[in-house]
Amino acid sequence: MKRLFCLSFGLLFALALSFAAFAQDGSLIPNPKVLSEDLFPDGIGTRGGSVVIDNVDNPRTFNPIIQFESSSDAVNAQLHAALLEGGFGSADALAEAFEVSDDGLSITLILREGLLFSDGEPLTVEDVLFTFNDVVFNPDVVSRKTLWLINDQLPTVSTQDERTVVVTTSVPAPLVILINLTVQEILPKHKLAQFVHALNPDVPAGTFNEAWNIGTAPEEIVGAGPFRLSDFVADQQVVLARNPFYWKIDPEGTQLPYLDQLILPVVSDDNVRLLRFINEETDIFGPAPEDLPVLQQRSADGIRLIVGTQAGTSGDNFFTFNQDAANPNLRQLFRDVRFRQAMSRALDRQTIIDIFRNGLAEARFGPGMGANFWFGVQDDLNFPRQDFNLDEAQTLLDALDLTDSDGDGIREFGDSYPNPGEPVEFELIVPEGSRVLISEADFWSQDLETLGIRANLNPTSFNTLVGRISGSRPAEYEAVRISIGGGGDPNFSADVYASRGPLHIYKFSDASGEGVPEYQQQLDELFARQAVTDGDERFQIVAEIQRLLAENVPLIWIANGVGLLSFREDRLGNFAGVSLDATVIASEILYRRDSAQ
Amino acid sequence: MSKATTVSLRALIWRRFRRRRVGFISGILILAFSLVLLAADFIAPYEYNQQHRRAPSVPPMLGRIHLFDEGGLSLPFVYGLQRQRDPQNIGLWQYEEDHSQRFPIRIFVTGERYRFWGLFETNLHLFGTGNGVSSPGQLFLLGTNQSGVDLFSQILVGGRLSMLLVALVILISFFIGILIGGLSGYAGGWLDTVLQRVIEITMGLPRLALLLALVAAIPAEGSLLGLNPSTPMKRFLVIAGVLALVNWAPLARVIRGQFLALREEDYVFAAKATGAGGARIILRHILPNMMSYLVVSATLAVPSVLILESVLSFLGFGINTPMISWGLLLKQVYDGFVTNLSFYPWLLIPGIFLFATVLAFNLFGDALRDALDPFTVDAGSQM
Amino acid sequence: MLNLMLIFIARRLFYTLFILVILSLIAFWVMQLQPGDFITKHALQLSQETMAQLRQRYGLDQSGWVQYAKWIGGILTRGDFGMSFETQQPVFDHLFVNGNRFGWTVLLTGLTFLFSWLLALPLGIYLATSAYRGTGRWRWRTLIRAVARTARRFAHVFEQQPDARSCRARWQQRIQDTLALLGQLLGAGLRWLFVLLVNGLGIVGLSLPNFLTALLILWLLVAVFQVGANFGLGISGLFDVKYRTAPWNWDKFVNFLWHLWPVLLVVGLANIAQLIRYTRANLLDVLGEPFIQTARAKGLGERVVVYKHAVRNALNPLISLLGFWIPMMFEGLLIAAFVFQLPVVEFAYWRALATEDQYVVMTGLLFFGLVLTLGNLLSDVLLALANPKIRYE
Repeated sequence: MKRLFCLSFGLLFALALSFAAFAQDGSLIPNPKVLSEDLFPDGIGTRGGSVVIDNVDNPRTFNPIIQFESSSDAVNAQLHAALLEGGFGSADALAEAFEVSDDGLSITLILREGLLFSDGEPLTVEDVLFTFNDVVFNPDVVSRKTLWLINDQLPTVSTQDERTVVVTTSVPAPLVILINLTVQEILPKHKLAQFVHALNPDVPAGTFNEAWNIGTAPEEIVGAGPFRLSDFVADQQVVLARNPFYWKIDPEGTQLPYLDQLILPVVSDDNVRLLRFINEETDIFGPAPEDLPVLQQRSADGIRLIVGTQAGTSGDNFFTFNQDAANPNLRQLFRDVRFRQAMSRALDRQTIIDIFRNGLAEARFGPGMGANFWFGVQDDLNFPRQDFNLDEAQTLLDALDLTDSDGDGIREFGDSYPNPGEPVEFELIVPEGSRVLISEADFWSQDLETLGIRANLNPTSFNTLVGRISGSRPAEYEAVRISIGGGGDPNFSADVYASRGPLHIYKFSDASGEGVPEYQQQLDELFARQAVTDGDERFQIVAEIQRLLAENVPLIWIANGVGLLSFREDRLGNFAGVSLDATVIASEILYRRDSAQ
Repeated sequence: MSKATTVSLRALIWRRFRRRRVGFISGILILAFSLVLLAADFIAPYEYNQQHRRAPSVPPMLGRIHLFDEGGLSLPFVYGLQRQRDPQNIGLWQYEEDHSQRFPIRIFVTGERYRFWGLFETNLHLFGTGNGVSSPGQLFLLGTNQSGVDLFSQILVGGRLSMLLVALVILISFFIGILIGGLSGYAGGWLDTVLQRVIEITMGLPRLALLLALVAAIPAEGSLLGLNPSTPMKRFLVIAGVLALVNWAPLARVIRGQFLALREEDYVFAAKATGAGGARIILRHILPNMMSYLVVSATLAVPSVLILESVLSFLGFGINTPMISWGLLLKQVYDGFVTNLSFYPWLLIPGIFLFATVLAFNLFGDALRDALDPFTVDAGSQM
Repeated sequence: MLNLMLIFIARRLFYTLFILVILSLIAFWVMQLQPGDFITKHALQLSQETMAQLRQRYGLDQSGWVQYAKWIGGILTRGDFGMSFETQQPVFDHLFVNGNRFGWTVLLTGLTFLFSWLLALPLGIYLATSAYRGTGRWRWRTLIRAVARTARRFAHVFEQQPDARSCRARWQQRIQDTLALLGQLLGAGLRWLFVLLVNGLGIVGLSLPNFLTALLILWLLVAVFQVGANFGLGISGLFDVKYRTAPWNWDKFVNFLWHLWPVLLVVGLANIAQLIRYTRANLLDVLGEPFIQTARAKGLGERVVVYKHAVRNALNPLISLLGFWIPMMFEGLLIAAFVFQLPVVEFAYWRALATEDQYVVMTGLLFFGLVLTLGNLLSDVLLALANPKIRYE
């Protein structure tokens, strides 16, 4: 009797398992990640429906390793998953648990059991090893290795058993590794091994860089993200369908994602995107401050406009001077901190924000953003800031041996400069194409003119501009207005502020180690330290970095726009926002309130 | 017996031209407009890139010029403008008239300093309120854009730049066209064949596509022909050069045809017989006969070059900040056109100017051509 | 005759080849002039090593001549026009195949062409034939004369006649006739207005730059009529997004027409205007020729005279317009594609210019040059066919 019972139970269990394996709805892995209820701002959702959000451009590639534009990220971010998620890699994802060793040299991760890719194939440590050792760390693959270089060495990724992965570094840097693990997608070996020369000698080295281009059939693009690629028509749209094997569930046990489809039409014109949103053709839209009047006036009820309370854009907008400028007069001038402070004082940030950003931005005097965890401390700690004050600027400039000797309204260099008598003027290059950027630069240059400094505005194509500020050592520009994406973590800022950083555009000569100013040396030291510390100590270090930067103003920070987002509140639930241009955050919990769509 | 009067050719042409009333009026308008543009700095009440920080997006003030106050008729004046945020729409500004502040509009006022044609400095403007930048009493005839720049001033200065560019382009392309066409037609032989092929090939090049590619390649630094002018100037010159390069070929072809025909004329043989050299023949005999054609050609070329320049600027490949042109003004409308067309439609006014100018030149050129063409039968009421 | 024609065509084709070679050289030289290359704009996100690697992959690290030689070699041996850096696709696919770009370009150009001719020809003919005394224009005098003529015809209405009819019947007749007279007047007035408008169109259409037309249309649709909010109609592209990938049905077709008319206007307005004027002028000239008088004297009906004899002759020179139209339509389509986001070759070309996608730009230039020269060739051939008096050199 008992045996019969056991047998039938066993049969039923097998039946249930097989059902799970062959069910049209995909299958739930035995140990899915249960999202806690506080992650659902609008509560538990219902399955079904699709959401439309316009993408700025065609995705350039479906290969997440080699992509570097937001239009591709909007698609690829939905297709893949990483080992960890959350801030500082604190939450489990594909890895259900992790542990940092006491010496900080290694991190052990335990892979979730029974994980499946979007085509139903299992995701194992083999795929993790493949992703790191054969792809990311592969010298033939154009991946972002700089992210992973700890002490100039790549970490070692190995396995202990069939569910454990160990990442080892030569010096302790657990925070960096954890953060990196939140962004590194795990790729399917069974689909991509054929492109790696080491595993498939038939293909030449570097073939991986062409793998998964936009001509690839959708079935070939496989990942562990909430959606899978359903269709792509060039210049028209990308259609993503639910991944039937997704490994997350809501607190009630419903498999995520809620949405059947995520549709991303390709609409490159900003105006058309705005129009489509107003005309109820799309559900989500990231407006610019200039778009607000239209949104307010012509939108029907149901549009929710989120105006962030703190400057939330990731990126620093600034003017900067090339302290390695070819002109010896300018070079000497730009290296003087008093000049830079004067320039900062001549920038009427508040009026710029009022006129050009509809008041929706925050003036910045240092790096980062107000809402950022690490850099937000600036406002509390009373770092020096150069508020708008033309008289102060005058005084500073007067002390620099720059006087207007011939009465033409423009100062000339005094005798303490290599070429005295030359007028104080420089070329200010601005990316062409953005009316706001150019107008802001024009605004500032008009104030500078009253101070006797002439800034010659030169709108330049973005290519040319980038080439001039970073294409050679030393850089070939005098002054520039640009914005550089942040990324939030101080590590990413090291690219700009550390002497040897690839984006240290204000003084590339620091990399040689000669003539490095005192504050820069301190910065280098601090950046090296912060990479290997955590918690309070890191806080202190970052605060000190900010103080040094605020005092010495190598960059003239302008303002950071307040985060603006608009979406159909009556149609969407659990909307967590959008990053970059169209990358929906937390798309798995997004659901439609009106599932009729 | 009635007296027979002889009418000179010039008078005949003039009479025929005057009959075509539409073209005649257009000609007068063009003349007037050119004079205005010549004095653009003086007539514009403000500098073309002067940002009035207290007055972004002011609607046109043409309707706000008052002739009546409490006391009855008075000299034209404006009220000061009060600015506030639109209560219903945080993105918009509202401007109300402040009746407590009156600012008369005066002629020959002192305004902001400027350099007249870059030659001498003065601060005399034709009209305005004569107030400094920070005063609420400004006269923005056609309103301002989002940065507070006076649109009327921009239109005037931009128009001048556009017309200068067009004139330069026509000059250069005519020079090249006449040179090559003339050489080809007059010299004959192998030179003619080669140059003919060159002309044909140039005409076989896709104009706009090539133009875009060439302008995109303007080098950012370095010197041009040994000069090193400031970059906006360089851009201006390069655009003019490139436009001329794609425009000279059709003219050269026709010039060649004319030279071919005219060199067989009797008076050329006569001149040769008297020992006149080639250049003398060309300059004193052939060219004057082609003059009418050249004039008409130049007039009719203006609209197409003007439009081409505007298209380039509109696409972002032409004139750019810190200079201004009509095409650029319209590009600034197009960027963010949903907001601009819905709330600041006056920004489209440069389009009216562009259209009117092109129209005027078309009509004028048509009338001129008809007047000069000896073969059209002029039966009074014909067009 | 045929031999001459073939020789002519062959020679022109040879020149075409020559032109293409020159174009490719110019294109390449232009690309080299541009500072930096495709990779440069990513300098802010990529490291130097990565950029060097990418450059090597794309062959951008080699000298200009090597790149050019390789590209030409690829074209001649494999029909390979290089790789588009942006999309990692062969240029040929990217420019012509993806999204049916070539198909749409041909379709839109053809539709505009058709639309322009269908609209402009009748209007031009009407203008030429409806004029009084062959002037092609109405003036106040002619209008008044027409009115006077009409009035005289109905003058008898008010004549007193011994009439057996009842008073009421007579008045009925009078009212009827008066209404008829008013109708005639109205007709005459409308015809005059129509002629004025069409003439105006002829002038205005030539003077409106196509991007201004596009802006005006946008303004009307977005700000004045607010078609999105009021009628739920989209503005850009060839279809509303929801129809983009849907199968063809009636709704989709209607939607396509809605998106089509602004494009037709923007691309074709200048052509229409020019064609109206040319047709009218040519037809007027022909109508003044002696052989038309002969035809009329023979007793042929006016309609036959006009259409069978005059129009056919007047159309001949219009063929030469073909060569002139092609670049105009290309420019118009570029503007329209820019403003309305159309999936056409010109648009891809413009994007490639902006991103320094050099092989796409070069191939694009070749393509447009080819189209232009072939168009010129076609119009020359047609002209020669239609008018045997023309000798080809």
